[in-house]
Amino acid sequence: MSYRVDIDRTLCNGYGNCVVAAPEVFDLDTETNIAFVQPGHRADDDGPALREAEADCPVGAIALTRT
Amino acid sequence: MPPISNDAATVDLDPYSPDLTEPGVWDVYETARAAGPAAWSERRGGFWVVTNFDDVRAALRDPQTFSSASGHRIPTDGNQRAIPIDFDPPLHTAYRRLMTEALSPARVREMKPFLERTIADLVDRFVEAGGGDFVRDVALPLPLVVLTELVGFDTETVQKFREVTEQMWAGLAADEEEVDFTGARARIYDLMRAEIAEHRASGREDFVTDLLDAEVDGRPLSEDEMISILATFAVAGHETTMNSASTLVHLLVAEPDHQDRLRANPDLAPRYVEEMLRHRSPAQNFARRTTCPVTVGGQDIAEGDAVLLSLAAANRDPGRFPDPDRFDPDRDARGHLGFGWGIHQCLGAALARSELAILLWRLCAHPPLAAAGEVRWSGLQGGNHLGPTTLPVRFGPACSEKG
Ligand code: HEM
Ligand code: SF4
Repeated sequence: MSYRVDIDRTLCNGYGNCVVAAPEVFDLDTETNIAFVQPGHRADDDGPALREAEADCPVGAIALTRT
Repeated sequence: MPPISNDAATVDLDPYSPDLTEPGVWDVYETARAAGPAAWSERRGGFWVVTNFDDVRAALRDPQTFSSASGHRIPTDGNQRAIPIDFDPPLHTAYRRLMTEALSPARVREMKPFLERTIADLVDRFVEAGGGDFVRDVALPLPLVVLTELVGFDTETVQKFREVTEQMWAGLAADEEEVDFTGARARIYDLMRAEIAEHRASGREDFVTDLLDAEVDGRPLSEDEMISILATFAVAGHETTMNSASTLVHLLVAEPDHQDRLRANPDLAPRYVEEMLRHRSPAQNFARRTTCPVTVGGQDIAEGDAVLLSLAAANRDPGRFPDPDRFDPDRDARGHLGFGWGIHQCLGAALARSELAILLWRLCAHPPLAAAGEVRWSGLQGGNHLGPTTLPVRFGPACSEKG
């Protein structure tokens, strides 16, 4: 199963919980401290980690859509 | 409420005991951990102490079961009404939204030049004086000045924060098993009421004035709500940062090797900050109350029981952080619970991280720091906050002499 990952950059507060849950997928921009999805990640491999990241975001900034 | 079964693990832990301080506090957490994943303490009305990383994080992640609405301190008697920390969704979400803008990464970035200026001023003056009490001269004034900029508090108002906060801690730590939350916070609420009146009159452009017109749930915010929000900024914004800054500087003077390493490579500052947050957990323990029966690490916990989630113990869980008592800036400290986790995770995290890293950088631009007397620690303030109360330091050649 694969997902599209969207981060609401206006909500993200830079906690980095998503990076802890799915380090292969998320990273924090060193300038803005806002999360981004690393280019070229293969979302089909990371289902459980992605769902954990979504659930762990304190501000609900991560949205997963099944594709 | 007594534990369900008589064979539950027990521990004698009073969060307000003056004995809970450096260095013995860590042994108390290890005693609790050894007793069991959830150990019952009879003190202050009775509560469970949870110490393992996975259990603490799971509870923080599950606000439906582990409610904040009865308070974040023991006893969870419903008399704590700090916004947003003592609320559950949906009200928590709405309150928190009102406060987010003041503390967003974008806002912290905007404030960076101000932070750099403020910290340079404080540190440079301290160095020129040859040192002094780092707590009184730098660690306390720093967050107070930041709060004037961040929130719009009057300079004279923030001067009183320390006094009214200490009165609050003293009120909470009273001898009896009861805790009078309403009495303890009275002075700080009076101070906030005066700030609101002053802003109504002056209309100064800042967070306080914005709050006067703010809405929650489609209705205007009440004055009591404004007072509570401002009091949270006043207390959460200064006690924690003060303790974190002093704890970092204590580390530098107590372990000169760590200081040398940082001075040789100031880019390590954010790592020192993170590892300090894990290793020392300046905000150590947060309470919740169960909304239904639940099992923690095999221990049954009844509905309505108070639970103390020890972030400090979780951050030294050897199952999560090997050799946990060792301060090691090279370890991967990410995911530590020093700022909590989940929907109540610290709103001030980005700000605090930025302030603390800038502070270390600035200190590295000056001669090495050395201890100039004995460090003193208080007991856990409010059952939670740990940091030095006095930290005499001086500047000069690296402290190679003994003593
Ligand atoms: C290093 C310094 C700090 C530490 C260690 C710290 C720690 C924490 C922790 C552990 C929580 C979670 C409480 C819970 O789960 O019940 C929290 C919440 C909070 N912190 Fe901090 N904090 C720090 C600095 C700050 C600053 C500078 C501010 C504001 C200026 C701030 C404002 C808040 C607020 C408003 C909450 C409540 C969030 C909510 O309930 O949704 N903190 N903090
Ligand atoms: S967990 Fe949420 S708030 Fe935190 S960095 Fe990721 S997207 Fe941003």
